[in-house]
Amino acid sequence: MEKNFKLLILETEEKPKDRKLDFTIQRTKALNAISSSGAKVCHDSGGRLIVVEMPQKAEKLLVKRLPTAQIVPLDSGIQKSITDLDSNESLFLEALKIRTSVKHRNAKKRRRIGETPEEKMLISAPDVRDEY
Amino acid sequence: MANERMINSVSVGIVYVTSPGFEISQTEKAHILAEVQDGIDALSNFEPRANLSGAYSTLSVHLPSFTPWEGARWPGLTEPFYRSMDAALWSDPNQKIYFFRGNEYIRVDPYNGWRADSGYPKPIAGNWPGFPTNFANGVNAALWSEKNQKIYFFKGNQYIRVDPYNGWNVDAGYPKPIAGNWPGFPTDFANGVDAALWSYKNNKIYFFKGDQYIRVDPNNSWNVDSGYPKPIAGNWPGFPDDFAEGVDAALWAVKNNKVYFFKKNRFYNQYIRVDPYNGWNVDSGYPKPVGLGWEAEAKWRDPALTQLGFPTGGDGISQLTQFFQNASGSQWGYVSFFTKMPTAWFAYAGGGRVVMRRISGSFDTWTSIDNVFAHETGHIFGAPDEYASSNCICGGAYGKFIKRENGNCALCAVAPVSCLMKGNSLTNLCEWTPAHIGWEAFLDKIDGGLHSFINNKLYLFSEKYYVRYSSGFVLDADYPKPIEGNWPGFPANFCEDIDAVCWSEKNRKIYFFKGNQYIRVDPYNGWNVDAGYPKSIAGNWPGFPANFANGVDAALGSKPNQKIYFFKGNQYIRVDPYNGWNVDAGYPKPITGNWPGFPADFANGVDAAVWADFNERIYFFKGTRYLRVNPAAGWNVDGTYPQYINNNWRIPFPTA
Repeated sequence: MEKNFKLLILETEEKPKDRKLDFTIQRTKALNAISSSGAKVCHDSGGRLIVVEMPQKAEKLLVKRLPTAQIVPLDSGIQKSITDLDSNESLFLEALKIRTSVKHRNAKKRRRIGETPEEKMLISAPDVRDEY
Repeated sequence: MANERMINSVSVGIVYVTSPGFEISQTEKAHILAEVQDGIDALSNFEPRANLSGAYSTLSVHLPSFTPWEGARWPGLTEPFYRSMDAALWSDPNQKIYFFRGNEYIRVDPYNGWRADSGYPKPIAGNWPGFPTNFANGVNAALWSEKNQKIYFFKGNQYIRVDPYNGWNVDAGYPKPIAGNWPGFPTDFANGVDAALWSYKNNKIYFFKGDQYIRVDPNNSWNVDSGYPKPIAGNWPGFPDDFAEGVDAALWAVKNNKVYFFKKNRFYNQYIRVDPYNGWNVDSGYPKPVGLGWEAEAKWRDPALTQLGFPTGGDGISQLTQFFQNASGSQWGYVSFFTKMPTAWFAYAGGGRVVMRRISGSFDTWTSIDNVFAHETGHIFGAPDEYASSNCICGGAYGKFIKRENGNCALCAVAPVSCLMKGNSLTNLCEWTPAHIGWEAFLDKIDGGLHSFINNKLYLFSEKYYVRYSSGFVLDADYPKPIEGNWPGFPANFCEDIDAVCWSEKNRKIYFFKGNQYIRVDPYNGWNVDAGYPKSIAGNWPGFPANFANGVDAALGSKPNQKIYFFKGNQYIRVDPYNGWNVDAGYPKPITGNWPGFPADFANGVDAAVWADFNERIYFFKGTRYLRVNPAAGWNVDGTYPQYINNNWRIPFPTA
């Protein structure tokens, strides 16, 4: 991941499920704000957490348009400051931690594409099942 | 249409399905999600204009109890035996069946529901006394001989004989070579056999090797009957093609006097049952999986869906997908099931779902989930396989939005490349996959728009393709279509990335512009390009400023005033076809101030413009958005514009 990726946290105090409709509206507003500010959603938890590709100008605009949201670096260890993470959010942040780790990034850089047993196995048989 | 284009926000629902003995740790779950995100990231990086992003929702379902392989046709075997086996044996002395695979074997009791006896599999070594090491490491075929009450095992070009009435020991003097000891064996059979069985019906022995078989008569000095070898095909009625190409194992079961043949397919071990007393025909309903086939997924997936409150089967998958999609507000969606419970294959996709299974060990050590998941996601969005074993075909029309042939199919492409759908590579896309997943056109702008009065249709062009609308802005079926081949006489460079197109009411012709050239199409002459075209703009469009003569951004045939407008950057000119096609005086003019209500970005330049006779409005396109102008209301932009092209023009379109 490049340096211009940030984690956008829509709110940190109340769980979305407590105010479902309000939160849906807030999310829609946030997604529109991200788009109109020139930023781009990369990974969305479907809730409070969104990984955004954030050019500098976009970040300034987004801060203005979403004053209650937090925008933090991906490796900020934000878990501790968000209360009441649900299991989906916890996994999302754990996955983010893995993906931003040097170990994971180096492993991805070092690998030889197509050479794991699973990749070799995949291309040994058809894998489309359209029975539904 | 579901998952029509791999663009914009895609809901990726991940369901971890576990049960006692098949747990997935939190660490594994995070690893899976990270890998899935890596896969979607890689896809997104292939085509930034697609504006692809993932909205990830995860659910964990733990089934309190689960019996693996429940419903298997041969119950109690282990998974390796459900995948394949090397040899099968009916043992008359104890009325049992033995299956051999590698250095292990399993004993089955036909009189106990054809169930495997407990305590199996066991190693051959130590349980079959006197077996030479190479036979203990695995056998090719096994045979009960009713004639001498012995058991024969074959391995390569050798065989051994076991006497069940002498402690199941190997008879002295064995192993022996097949050649010279089995009279009349053809050379390739003497070099090894695939399967063997004793026929109680005619007291003969059958040996199988590849797609052929021989018959031995033990009552005629064990000689091969004349006329053999014969092909399996045509001589064993009802054999499926893959069984006729060869079998892995065979046995006669005295319990029901049927013959069983075993043959693994690409995914699992299967078998057919032959009735020697019904013309040696294959019983109906065969082949069947030895264990479970593709229905293995439903054994754990449907209980998981039920636990989540959804219906089983396809309806449940569809509703769960919609649930995730609605929750995240995504345009598209699919569900992926990650499990360690049995499946027919370790990774596959279709019907709106991806299934990925760790057969053994931890998901943590599966470091190519990203590649495999991206490949399966390709299927979800309409991309076909391109590797040889998929049996792909080069022809056909694949894809949901744009349809194209499978030009990189390894079986027929001239120079197939390794890529996402062939070789499972996240570093490359072949030429055809972008079309299959909806990336070959209509991504970041509209090149040109045209209302044709001859057929009252509206056309939008993008890269190599175009779409057509009927009255009411109804998207005509089977669009987008490629420009090439559908617009006769088009020069190659006009078959993609045109700059502008417009209708001229004066001569009822259509003009296409590309760079400093243009062509003229006569819809009254089979929509052919008029002779003598392309021509340069300069010198043929009087009064064009030099920068317009070098190329235009958009052209508009305006019905209200019968003028033609050309746009270039932040300026435009107006041409009067009824005044010698001259540019009206006073032009070029800036868009700003002359087209009321234009937002700044549209005033800085537009990509396309089109008169829509359906509602007598003018549409201007810029990037992924458009605005609507009403000439009858002072040429003002209608309220609530600009809007996204996405869905408003009946096509999915990136919203970046």
